[in-house]
Amino acid sequence: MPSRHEILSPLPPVNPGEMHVPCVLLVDNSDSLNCKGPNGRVPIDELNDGLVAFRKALDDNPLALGRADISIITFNSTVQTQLPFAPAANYVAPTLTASGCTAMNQGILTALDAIEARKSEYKNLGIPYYRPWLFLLTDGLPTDGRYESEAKRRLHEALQNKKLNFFPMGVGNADIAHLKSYTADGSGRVLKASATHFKEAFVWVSNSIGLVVNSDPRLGTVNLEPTPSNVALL
Amino acid sequence: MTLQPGSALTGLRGDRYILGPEKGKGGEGIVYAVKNKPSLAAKIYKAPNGMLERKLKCMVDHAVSPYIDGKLMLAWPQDVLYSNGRFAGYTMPLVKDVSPIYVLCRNNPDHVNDCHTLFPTYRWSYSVVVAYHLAWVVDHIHKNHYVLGDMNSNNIVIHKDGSVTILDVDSFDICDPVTGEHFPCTVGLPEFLAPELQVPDLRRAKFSEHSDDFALAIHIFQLLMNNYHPFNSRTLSEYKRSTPLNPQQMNIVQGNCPYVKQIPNVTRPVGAPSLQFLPARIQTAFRTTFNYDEINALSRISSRVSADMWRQLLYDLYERIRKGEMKVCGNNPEHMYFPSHGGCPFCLAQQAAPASGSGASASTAPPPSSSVTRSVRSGSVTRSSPAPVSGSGKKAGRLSFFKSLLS
Repeated sequence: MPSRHEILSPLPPVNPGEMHVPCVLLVDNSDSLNCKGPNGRVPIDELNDGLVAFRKALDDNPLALGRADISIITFNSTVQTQLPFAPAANYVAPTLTASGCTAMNQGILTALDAIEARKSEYKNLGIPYYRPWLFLLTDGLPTDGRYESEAKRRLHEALQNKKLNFFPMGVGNADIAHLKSYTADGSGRVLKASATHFKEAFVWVSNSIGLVVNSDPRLGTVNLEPTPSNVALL
Repeated sequence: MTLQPGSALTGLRGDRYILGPEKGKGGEGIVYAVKNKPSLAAKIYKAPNGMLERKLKCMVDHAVSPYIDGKLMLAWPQDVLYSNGRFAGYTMPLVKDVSPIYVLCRNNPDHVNDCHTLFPTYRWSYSVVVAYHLAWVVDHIHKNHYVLGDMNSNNIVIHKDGSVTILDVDSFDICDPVTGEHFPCTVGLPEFLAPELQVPDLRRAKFSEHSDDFALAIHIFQLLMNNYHPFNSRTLSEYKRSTPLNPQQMNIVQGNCPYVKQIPNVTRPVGAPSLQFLPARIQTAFRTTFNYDEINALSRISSRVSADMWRQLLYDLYERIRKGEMKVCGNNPEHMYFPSHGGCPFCLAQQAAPASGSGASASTAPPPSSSVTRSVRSGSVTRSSPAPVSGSGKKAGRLSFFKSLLS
């Protein structure tokens, strides 16, 4: 079973003289993403378009493009590292297919492991870094409940120690209250989008990373881009 | 009414300006081309206010020439813009075909947005020329009694001939020579801020010529030292983060520059060259600016090397390169070094990289064969640049490049 283990090797950071920001896009590719939305579009297609739009948005911010390292991890019945950590300039949008259940908790654990590994690589090389980003997108309830307490414990620990920026986003029929319970003391922010506005959400993530590298990390919280009109902050 | 391409604005002396296409967007406003005056650009503020208006009027009344020796070096405000009598923004010379300075500092194996974008035949000597021009323009601003303030790498752009232009001049820290009103700089990117500016609120900080000199030294360091920041370091013992400052900022506050002093359990980052290959006077200049500690940091502010001094030091280095005193590296013709140094400092640093990271996990070393979409450079020697050509031909090319830059 490939779950929770990286199959491909990460690529080393480029521009080692500059501060880096590691960012994991942890996305749901369970079977429910095959269900046609109200506009007749299939969510998994929207998701794939979003991953392409993310690439274009990264290109619009050359400072961030040289400092961000991106990894894409998906979860359905298993967790798969679709794109191990690599410089943003090397990001190629994967084409995802949807099937199976929703192993979101294991996905979170894999993502946190990947971030820790990238951080220790930075430390070994002497590369300073901004607070890592974990962007989680799901449209359902996790089906791997036995990992839930571990996933929450590690998330909460990272958030309390200010070691992570966590942005969960629920789409379609996602259970927002349940997602909220993963945020810092269960009251953090959750993004909500209809199942047809993934693209805007990914562009928002990219623009926000652009703001991070142009901001003062002392402030802790960055003034993020306003969320797009069809992505609500709950 | 929102201003947009096609909107007409009026200047201080009644000149009319028609906004052209959008050129760029920032936190404070939008920059447009000016349709009826193609050599100008117009910045329109999102939130114009009275203080900005007085500051810009002062800058127009007490203008510094944007041109030095015929080169556009400063996007200095040319006129203050009004829309139906209301202050809206200002005009400045239009800056075209440039790259931000951080692009020149980057040198990536796959050439994505790095020095080759600007200079397809990049050589280390080009960075020296750019550093020289940067010191020159900062000196010019200081001689006119202005302070740049926010010297971040988005505000410094490089032309294809190696000259430098400073943008966002409206964030300068200035004093009105007539009314005495102080218009402080209140923004900055921490990686270029001097220790006295590493405070929670920049509105309470005091920018000065000396804080510019500190930022200038960081830019020069990054240009000459393969993009490494002087305050990035590698901690050999367990890494602790007990303050809200990141390690780079902590190092600036505490004066932990691993290139100019011995710090227990701290070394240069993996792959960073040693300072030793630079001329002794340039090494001394970096030591003078970066060798301080948390206790004496404030008392050392005024002893930092000035922009004028940097300009002279870099001109001397350029002269030595012009006379052929530096050798082109046989492995990578982009590298240069003084023969007395023995070997190429950049190649040495990169060869040492895997060994010095030996305690690290397997993921630290580049993967032996990449399973993703490109090959990974394991050392500088494998880059796909042309093989070094015989000395005379190359030297001639380099000389003419320099001549065209400085004529």
